[in-house]
Amino acid sequence: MKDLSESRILIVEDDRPNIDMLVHALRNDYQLSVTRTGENALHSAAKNPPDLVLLDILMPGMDGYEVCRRLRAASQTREVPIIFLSALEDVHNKAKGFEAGGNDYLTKPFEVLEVQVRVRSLLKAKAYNDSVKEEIASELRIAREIQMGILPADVASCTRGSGLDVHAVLEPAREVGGDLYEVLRTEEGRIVIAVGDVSGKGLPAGLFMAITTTLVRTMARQFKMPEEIIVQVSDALAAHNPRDMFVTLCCAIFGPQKGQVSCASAGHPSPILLRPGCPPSLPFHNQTMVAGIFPGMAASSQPLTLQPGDTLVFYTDGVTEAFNAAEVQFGQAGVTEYLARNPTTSAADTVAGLLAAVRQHAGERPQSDDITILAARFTPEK
Amino acid sequence: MSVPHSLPVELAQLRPDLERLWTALDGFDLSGSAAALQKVARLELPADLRATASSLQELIDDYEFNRAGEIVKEVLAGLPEGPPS
Repeated sequence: MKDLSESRILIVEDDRPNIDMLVHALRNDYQLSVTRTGENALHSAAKNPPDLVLLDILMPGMDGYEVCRRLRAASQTREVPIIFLSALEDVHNKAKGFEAGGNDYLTKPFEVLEVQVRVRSLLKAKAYNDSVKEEIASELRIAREIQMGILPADVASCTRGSGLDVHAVLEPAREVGGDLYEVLRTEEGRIVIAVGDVSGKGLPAGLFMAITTTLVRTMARQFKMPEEIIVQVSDALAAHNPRDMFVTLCCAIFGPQKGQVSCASAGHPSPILLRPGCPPSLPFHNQTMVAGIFPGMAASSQPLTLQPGDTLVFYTDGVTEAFNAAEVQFGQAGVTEYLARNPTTSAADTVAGLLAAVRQHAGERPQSDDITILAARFTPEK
Repeated sequence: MSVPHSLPVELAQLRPDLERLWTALDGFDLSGSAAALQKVARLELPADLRATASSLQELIDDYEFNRAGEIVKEVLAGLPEGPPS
């Protein structure tokens, strides 16, 4: 936990004797910033974010309520404790201070001991709060590392000689997310590709993603058809699913003959087929509900024969549902239009180009959902 | 406040400390500016800079950070370029 003597207190007060008293009470124990106007207080807080603010209400120019509102609106000072200082004992003024975002109230004339005790109490609470947040943030960073470690480490070596050029990217919207992908080679030489999206976000989705990925990895080595893998994964998830979470899952198996692929889906959109000289198309239909909730689901797969140069592009809804500042989604149309206009010669270029197009569409708007893009290009000469 | 015409070489070395002082004053940082000024005042200064340091102390004691900052800015503008700070 932070040493309280490193804490910075911002005193915002226009009356000189009151400033002197507060400085006298606090300068030996804390770092102090002092301003006599609200405008300067905001400037100071932006330069040296305080750990606590002592804020007068009636000042020339901007009053304390407005300063408080603006501090609460700024990310750096959103949660900093604010103690209002005022001669106004009226309960309505106190209520107004709390409504503006204040945490406590000191009535003038101050008692040195009371100032010191209240300041220390709020700083201790803030330091504890900060340390808990840091601990959680640290655990989430580790969770992210673990989650990224679950994903296939070396897609290129696992697909070498299969006639497939595979590349994937997964970008969680938060530290951990619910998207997943898997690429593995079975003992018979088939390549299994799965892409999924767990309901919800954050840690719960991350845990469900880890379970789902492990199940996909296990079932893909035991079952030869994609619909069998999906049904087995769904049944296993449903058997231990206290929060009724679910996952959309698309599973494709390439082989045993080069160019053969069969695909099954549980609530997940069909991959997009990019065939040289043809517009992008959706070769598979999603015939099944999401996986993980109801045991005994039925699923079926659909076959496709790939031609040299064909690419299947799998993605999650973080791609189609990426919003821009005008609240417009990138959409399925955005994906297919981009892919139609930008043919590439490698899976890596397809993935990187589509991701860049999504980013360009979203602009400054923060990513709201996990993004996964996986491209599998059929190149039988490789 | 003016900067002496014949500057001792050491004056150029004042720049980093004065820049730190200016940054503290610009942020209304009472503790930081008091500490930075104390460090400057401990150096061997020409008479007029000593006087300036003394008036800066008074301004900081009066919480007049803007005025103190303007004075420091003037002193910085009159200093020879020192090593990169």
